[in-house]
Order: sequence, then structure tokens, then C-alpha cells
Amino acid sequence: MKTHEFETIVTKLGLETRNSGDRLAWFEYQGKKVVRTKRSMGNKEQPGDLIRQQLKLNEEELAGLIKCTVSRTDYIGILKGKGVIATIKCACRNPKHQHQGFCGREAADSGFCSQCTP
Amino acid sequence: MAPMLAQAPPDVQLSKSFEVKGDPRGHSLKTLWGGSFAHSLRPEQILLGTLGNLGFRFIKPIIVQLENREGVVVASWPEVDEFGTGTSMSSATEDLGRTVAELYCSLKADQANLGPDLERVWLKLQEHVVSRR
Repeated sequence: MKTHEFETIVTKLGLETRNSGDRLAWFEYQGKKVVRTKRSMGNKEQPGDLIRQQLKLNEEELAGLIKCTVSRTDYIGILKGKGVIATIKCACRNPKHQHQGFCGREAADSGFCSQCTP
Repeated sequence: MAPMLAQAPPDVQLSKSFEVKGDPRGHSLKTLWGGSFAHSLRPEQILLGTLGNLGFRFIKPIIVQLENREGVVVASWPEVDEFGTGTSMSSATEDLGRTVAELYCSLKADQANLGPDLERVWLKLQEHVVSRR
């Protein structure tokens, strides 16, 4: 993997970064650190397969990320599918809602889905 | 002076017996299959027991995979998907040690806000590394 390809991923996914001896990058979702990766400084070839494993992607998904066919939203979906992002269910317990009193929909940052209010 | 004999690495197929000859002063070493003696004897896996950072120590060594990729040595710790790179085995393991120390600090600081995978990495790190502070 080329350095500019790594930087494309950083920009596209909105990774947080910090320059230490290496360039460290991590992906946050709903206030939680979900995955992290890094590249060495300079224009050396980076070990793409190891970076791919850190980002929890297969070869096709990584290629899509670099070519811009996989978006940040798609990436979140991929991580959810692999259980790397825990899906939080809506905390609503209004008996009028479905699932025998439990809403069951995916919650936003508030802990409730868009159709339920705290 | 009698020639110096050594064992062939297991991954090297030899048609003849392996022999490494040294000059009378013991300066130049050559292998029968050519190439660098040191390079051909680089292990594929080592046990790493030092982080190269005085703030931390290993309580249990880690199994590190070593690979040579077009002149860059990559040292990786597959259990936590972490790696270091360098021009030699020692610089790659040093980079890996530095990265592991960084990771330890970063995960410790954010341990209440980690996703499931990084939580697993944090638990694994604590099995192997302790902070001296």
C-alpha cells in the first residue's frame, strides 16, 4: 500500500490521527474507539495486508475504500456486520411500541431510535 | 585451519552437504547456495520478551512473525494485529515494541470507550505487558 492510499483511507473514513514515531490512526463511532491502524513515516511501501487486517476489511472492501466505491457509511455497515461495532438497541419500553414493549430498532447516540423519545 | 561447519536452515533444500567456510581470519562467510549468510538464517518466528521501553515490561513473551518484503523487515504480533517495520530484524522488533507501548497507553487511557475488538486487544495486552509506573 502506498502512503497516499493510506491517507485516502484516513480522509474518507474521517480517522483521528496522531503523529508519533509512526502515523497512528483510529476510527471512532458513537464515542467509542473501534479500530486502529498505523503507517510508518516517509514514502515507504506500507504492509497493506496488515493494515487491512487492522481495519477489519477483506481485499475487495479495502480496494473499494481506496477507489472510493466504499463510503464511510458502507464501512460502518461492514464493521457492524462483523460485530466490530456493537449495535445498541433502542431503550424505549413503551408498551405501545412493537416487540412486546421493546422497540428493537437500532439506537442513536441518545440510546433511542429516531422514532422514540427519551 | 579446519572449515567451520554449521547446520542448514530447515527451509533450505540442499543437494550437497551444507558447509560454511571461513577464511583463516574468520572474516568472510559464504553459503553454498549463495546470498547473505545472515539473511538466510533469519528466523520466521521469534519470542519477544522486551519492549525496548523502560516504562513497560513483558510478563509473558509474545510470538512475533518475521517477514522480509522487498528489503523491508516486518515484525508482526498476529494475536493483536499489530506490526512494526524496519530495515533489519532488530529495528522491526524495536518498532513493534514501540507500537505496542503506544497502544498500551492509548487503550489504557480510553479503556471505558473501546469497541469489542479493541477491548479484546486491551485484555490480551494486559496478559503480556505491565506498566512499571
